[in-house]
Amino acid sequence: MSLSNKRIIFCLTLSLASAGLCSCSPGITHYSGTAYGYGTTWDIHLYQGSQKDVDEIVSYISKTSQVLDVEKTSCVNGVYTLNEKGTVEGDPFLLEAFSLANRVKEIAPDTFSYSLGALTSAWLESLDQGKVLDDATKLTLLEEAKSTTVSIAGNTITKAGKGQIDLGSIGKGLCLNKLKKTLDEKGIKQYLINGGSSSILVGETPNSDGNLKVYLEDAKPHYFYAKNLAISASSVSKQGVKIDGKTYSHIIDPRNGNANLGYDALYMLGEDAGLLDGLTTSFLVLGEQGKEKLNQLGVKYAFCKDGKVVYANEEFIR
Amino acid sequence: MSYPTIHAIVSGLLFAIALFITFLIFPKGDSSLSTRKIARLGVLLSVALILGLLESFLPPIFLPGMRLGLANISILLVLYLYGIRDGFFVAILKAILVGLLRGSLFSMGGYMALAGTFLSFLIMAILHFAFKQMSIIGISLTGSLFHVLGQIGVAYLFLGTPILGYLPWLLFIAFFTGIGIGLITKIILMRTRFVAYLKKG
Amino acid sequence: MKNSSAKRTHIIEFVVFLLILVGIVVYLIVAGSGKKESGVSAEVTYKGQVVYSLNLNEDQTQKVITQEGEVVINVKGGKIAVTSSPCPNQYCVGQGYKSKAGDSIICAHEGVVVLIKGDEAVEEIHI
Repeated sequence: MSLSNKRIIFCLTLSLASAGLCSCSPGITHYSGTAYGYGTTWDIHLYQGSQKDVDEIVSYISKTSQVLDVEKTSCVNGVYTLNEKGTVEGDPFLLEAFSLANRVKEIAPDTFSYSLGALTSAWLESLDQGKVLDDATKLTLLEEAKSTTVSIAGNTITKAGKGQIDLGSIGKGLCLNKLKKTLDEKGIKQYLINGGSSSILVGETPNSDGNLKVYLEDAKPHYFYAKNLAISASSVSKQGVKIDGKTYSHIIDPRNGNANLGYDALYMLGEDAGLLDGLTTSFLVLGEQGKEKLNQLGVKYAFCKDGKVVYANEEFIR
Repeated sequence: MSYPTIHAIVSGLLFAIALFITFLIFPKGDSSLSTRKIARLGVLLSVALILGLLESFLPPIFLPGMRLGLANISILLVLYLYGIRDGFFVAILKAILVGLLRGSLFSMGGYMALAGTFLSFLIMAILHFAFKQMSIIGISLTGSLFHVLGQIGVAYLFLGTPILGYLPWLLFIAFFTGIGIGLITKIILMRTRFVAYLKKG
Repeated sequence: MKNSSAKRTHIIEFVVFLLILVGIVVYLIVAGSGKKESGVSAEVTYKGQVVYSLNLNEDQTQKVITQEGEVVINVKGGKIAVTSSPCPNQYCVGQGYKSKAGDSIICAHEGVVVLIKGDEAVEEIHI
């Protein structure tokens, strides 16, 4: 056996041994937690920082959720009080929520509304019984919602009209915006905060390219990669009920009070979680007509219907 | 990859490669195809088959298809006495026939056996003819290791990464069975009258 | 002349194979002694598809229906085992309860693989 052959075999043996050595790699640091708020379960994963940071996030989500909760909560300066008494010394989070809501309203004036609380409840009750909401109730509640206004003077929020305020469509997003600020301040770059699969804030994952693979439930088996951005998903499928071939859900069109939409889901990717949260629902309702405006926003988005991606503004979905 | 796809690809590849190499690449060994020679090869193939069948009734280790490799005694003999092409035929035919007789040819175990036989025979043939001084024990040992590699390789396509955990254990065992088989074959080859009888064309 | 060169080759061979054997043994020892964390979940695969993703903290029993029969998997006290299977050699059943991340129980005959996963980073989500 020649010298070069000996060398080859020696190297092979060496690599076998080193492969064995490499197999005991150190684990990644991973702190995780679960939070309950805004009507859903949150999954929190931090790959930097500490467990204490996770706990702080959990309590922040829970605390701020109480502010926007429409059911009776322990928060006296929140939405519940506003709806009950018509006026409230707003909690800072609530004031910020209204400010964000107004920003969303500027972009989607027709299809964004935060006064649909009563109408949404009525629809959900009716759908529970497998029935479409009757037009009379629908139109009455719609009128009430449309005629409801909110005015803010300093910290005082006043509501005029019979509609019930419900800021649920932007709550999760606003919460994520605040959390992002905290994470940035702490220098935590590797994280994933998943708010009920509809509002997600993703930093980097601790693997080589840092990407998170996101599968679209409304367009299986398509997916896309995401890193350092906010993802917002608005979908009728989770709470959807099919009656006479049409799908009705918890997403109400503020223009006519209807609960069935042209598309099944809208996914949006961008920087501002709060804005995205509000816009996703509004533009899902708007459908076709909103594409131009969406394109001006500089976000990536995809509309889905019947299990397929029917339109995406960029080739980001595989 | 879906299971049916893996089945199709693996079986197709293995059979195609086997045919291709046999007819186009391997040099002829003893080119004279006398009746005596055919008969002798037939006997050696039957011996390989019998050994292969017998050991297939013993429980396999960890995975289907992990056997002692007794049939390799016969295969090695053919390689040494008759050359590559004939050796390859015996090796592949043994794998196919045992698979057919035991009903495991178109299963993961069957493909594993084919891939293992293929790789092991290839390396043994290469080593034997490239390094003429290499001992039969060493060649049998290397063949045994590569047989395991081939089998685990196919199992990996079907079962995924966890199966690779078995690799070092199987290689360890194969190390020693290879030596054993080589030893037995060496002893047979030392019986010069028997060898001459086999070679007599 | 011929004898001594043959002897020399044999010595080289012997050394080479000894090195390979040592390599394998070293790999076995080192890979086995690596610090292993407790598993958090187990992924059960059949024919390459994930059929169950089980939480090891929840006691449960699941069955995988294969061509040859049923493979029964049981989770108890943070550990998982294959309790029954139609394999001829019952190797998978014999492995008992496992709980370390990275460990696996393989029913090769059925094509069922139980892989225990540890606390890994979330690489994918479904929304």
